[in-house]
Amino acid sequence: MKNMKRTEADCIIIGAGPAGLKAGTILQSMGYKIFILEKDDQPGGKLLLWNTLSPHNESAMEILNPLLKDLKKNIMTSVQIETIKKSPEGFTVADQNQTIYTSPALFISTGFKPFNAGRKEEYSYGIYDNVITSVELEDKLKNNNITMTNGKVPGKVAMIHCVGSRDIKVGNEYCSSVCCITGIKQAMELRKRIPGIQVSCLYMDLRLNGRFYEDNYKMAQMNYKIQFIRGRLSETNEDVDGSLVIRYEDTLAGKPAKMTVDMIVLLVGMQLDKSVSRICPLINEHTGTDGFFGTGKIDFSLNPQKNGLFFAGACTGPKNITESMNEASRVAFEVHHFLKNSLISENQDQHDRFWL
Amino acid sequence: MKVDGKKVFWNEYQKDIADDQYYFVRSCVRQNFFPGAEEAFIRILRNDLGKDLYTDPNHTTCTGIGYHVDLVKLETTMTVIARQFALMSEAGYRNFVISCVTSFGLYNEILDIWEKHPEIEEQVRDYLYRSTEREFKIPENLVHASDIIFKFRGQIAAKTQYKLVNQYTGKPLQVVEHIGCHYAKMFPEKGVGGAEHPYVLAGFIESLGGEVIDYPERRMCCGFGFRQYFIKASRGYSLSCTYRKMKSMEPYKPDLIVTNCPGCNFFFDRWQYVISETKGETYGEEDNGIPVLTYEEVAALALGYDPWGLGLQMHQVAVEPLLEKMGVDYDPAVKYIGFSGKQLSKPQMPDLLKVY
Amino acid sequence: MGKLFERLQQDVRFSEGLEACINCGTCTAICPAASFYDYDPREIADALQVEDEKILEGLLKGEKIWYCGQCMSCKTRCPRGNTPGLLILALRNLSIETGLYLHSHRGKQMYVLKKLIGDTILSTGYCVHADGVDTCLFPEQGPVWDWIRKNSSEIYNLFGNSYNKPGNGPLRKISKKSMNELKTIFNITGCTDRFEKIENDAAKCAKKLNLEYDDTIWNEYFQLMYSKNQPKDES
Repeated sequence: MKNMKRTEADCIIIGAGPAGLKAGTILQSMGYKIFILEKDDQPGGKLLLWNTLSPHNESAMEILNPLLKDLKKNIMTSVQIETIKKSPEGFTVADQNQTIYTSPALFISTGFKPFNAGRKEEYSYGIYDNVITSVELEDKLKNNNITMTNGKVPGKVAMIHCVGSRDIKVGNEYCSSVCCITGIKQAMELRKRIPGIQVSCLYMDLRLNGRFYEDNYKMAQMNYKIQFIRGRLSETNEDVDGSLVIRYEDTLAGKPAKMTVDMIVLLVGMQLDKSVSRICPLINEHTGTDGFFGTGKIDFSLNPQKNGLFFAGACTGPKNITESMNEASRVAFEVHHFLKNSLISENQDQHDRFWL
Repeated sequence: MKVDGKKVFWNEYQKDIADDQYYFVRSCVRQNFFPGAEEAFIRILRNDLGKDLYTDPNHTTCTGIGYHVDLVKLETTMTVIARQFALMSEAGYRNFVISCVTSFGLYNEILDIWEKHPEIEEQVRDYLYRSTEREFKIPENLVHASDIIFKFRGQIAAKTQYKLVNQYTGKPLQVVEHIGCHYAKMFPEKGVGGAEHPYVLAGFIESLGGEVIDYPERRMCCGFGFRQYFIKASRGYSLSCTYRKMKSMEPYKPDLIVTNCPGCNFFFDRWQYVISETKGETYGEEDNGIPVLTYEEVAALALGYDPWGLGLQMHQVAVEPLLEKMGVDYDPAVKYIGFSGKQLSKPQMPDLLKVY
Repeated sequence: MGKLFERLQQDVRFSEGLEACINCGTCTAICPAASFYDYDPREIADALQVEDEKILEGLLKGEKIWYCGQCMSCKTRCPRGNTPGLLILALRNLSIETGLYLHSHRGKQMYVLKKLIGDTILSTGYCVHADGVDTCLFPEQGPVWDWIRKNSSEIYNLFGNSYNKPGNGPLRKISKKSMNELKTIFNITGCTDRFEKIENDAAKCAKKLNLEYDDTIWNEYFQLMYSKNQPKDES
């Protein structure tokens, strides 16, 4: 048999995004032994995709770095988990190198996957030039290279809300929570960086649930003159000169409309990252009817304590980074209670055996 | 534009199309305006592809046009359709092939209703039996005739004498492919390539060496509108839709328009005439208009069938410029010869649009 | 729930066509009728959501529901899975059944369709037949159609040799047995009654307007309904 490295911990955390890192920090500070397993080659999860974060334009890297501070040696990167098994003693996680991690508690913070914009066929992502996603735009903003495929700077941009969310046709009927504020943030950023650029946001509803989000909306209107159009993008077409022709209804005016733009930014929603559900039926069982883990009930515990399985972060439903970290902190304490109780009952058994 | 991007949808929307033993139902509009096209389809399938295609003189209209002008009740249409299915079973067939696109959409709609509401199917069985003492089976395979041409496009292309290539320049002909709305808009999974980037005609055109044009109004309805056309007072709707499409495709300089819906074919053909008379505008070179062919006519022409044997003399927009470009051998002297062999008087020439 | 709504619910196209509308306008954006007429499919879906009998009655009596061109582009795109085009079919059907279609000019034009298409179906077995189409009523058919009509047998028999006679080619004369089956289907499913009702309603309307009326398509009332929209469209 090959050299199997066996590692024991109190809690294994799968996913080194904001939720996993936050939970790891808390559990480690309480004296527990933890490992954080990350499939990418560096920790940070989707924080790595963002340039700045709403509502106050904080740098994503400045949020990430403190989270990594004391955890570095306990984060394993480039880990491809192959099996997750559950026994009365706890969880056994094996990776592609046959390294085996065991622990009584398993914390799932595998986060989300951005919606594949190609699935909205009528928007022709991947077919017409200059149809990009919010993720791609954020990258362009990070590198300060906001150009079209022909190298020129766009003069007119449409931000499209609700791409892959609230949409029965792609099977995601939920709202992805953070796309509206992201669109507003990116719209303002475009106006800041490119003089004279015109930006329109095409929305069905503006879901601005976080603190100071509404202020951002007002700022976008007053200071940055972003045009807000209440109408969902129906289709994208390409004109003979390569410009994009979009069709929508201006529902407030009650009239169908057409607009020619240089670039379209699709504000893609969130979907569950299914990498662990695929390999572990026990975890998969916790998938709710909307595709994320959990039930959405106000019963906090997600009923994990009996089997030691915990979920937090975007994998339990679309949310922003603050909400992810808040949930991760709460659930970290649930892990602590779980571990304490297991220890007590273990000690109780030993006590009983001694005395009886 | 990255045309390769469309391949994702073309691969995703694969449709089950039967191999042989087809029960064929004719189209009211095609029989009236393009009878040669329908006969050509039958000959191509039997003679060029060696298929068993059954034509039944006992089938009637499916009443689709009557249904969509709100004249024929849903129960009536369903029962007439059930009768067509009964005739199919009685003839010993299980694969149903439809010439008309409105029909195709309607058959799919009815089958969908029956699947979701079996009690309605039961009711229709009762109506049919009471009216005709016939019983029906749902076809195992139900496709549009253009699906079959698509399926065998490789075989057809291998046998063709002529290609969709300009013999003078060597360049592929620029082709507008227009898909009838009821082919895929109602049930995208029932259309080859889906509703947004359909492939049923594009694939066929490519196999004959043509190049497909994507223009901004590609997906728009030709404007038949059913009652909007039949009632003269609202006919402007129909004309306006086609006019908008013609203006949109004009900058791409199409050599040919190919459709799979007989109604669409009719409208592109006749409205070009009306536009030339009322607005003095023509499309294509030298007031020739852009020839409008059905997919069967294209297939037959390429296979070397005589243009007048196909009924191309029944089109208002002249096909001769296309025949010249393709290098098709034809005899102008035979164009206006009737069934008895006598030379018929020529049609009157329009004021602007050229007719030969 | 009111009586009209109860009847609307019985049409499977209503239940198939309405899930719940969020007024996003995706349907109106690509609706050809919305771009040419004062028509908005989103408004139709939204109006039907709250089961308001008065609103429904207004729709059934009004011009709006007759603008849709039945292209079904709305069905492909709606993120909630609604189909305004199907709702329109259900509304038009109910409007005719209840007689409320007589309150709108476009509704009354059902008579034209009954003559042009309904009568053709029951006499020939086709929805459209060349013998009933000419450039007098359909000038857009063009000079080529005049030529085809003038030489109809010579031309149609080139393709399958079945023009208006027994055979298996295009425009074959459909057998008496098949025609009788078709007519029986129309009788049993209540469609013959509907055709008769439309004809009778038209006779009454013609009388009210003091216009000549008979069972051909050349009477004054037919020509009016065929060629004219109301001078001022009531929506």
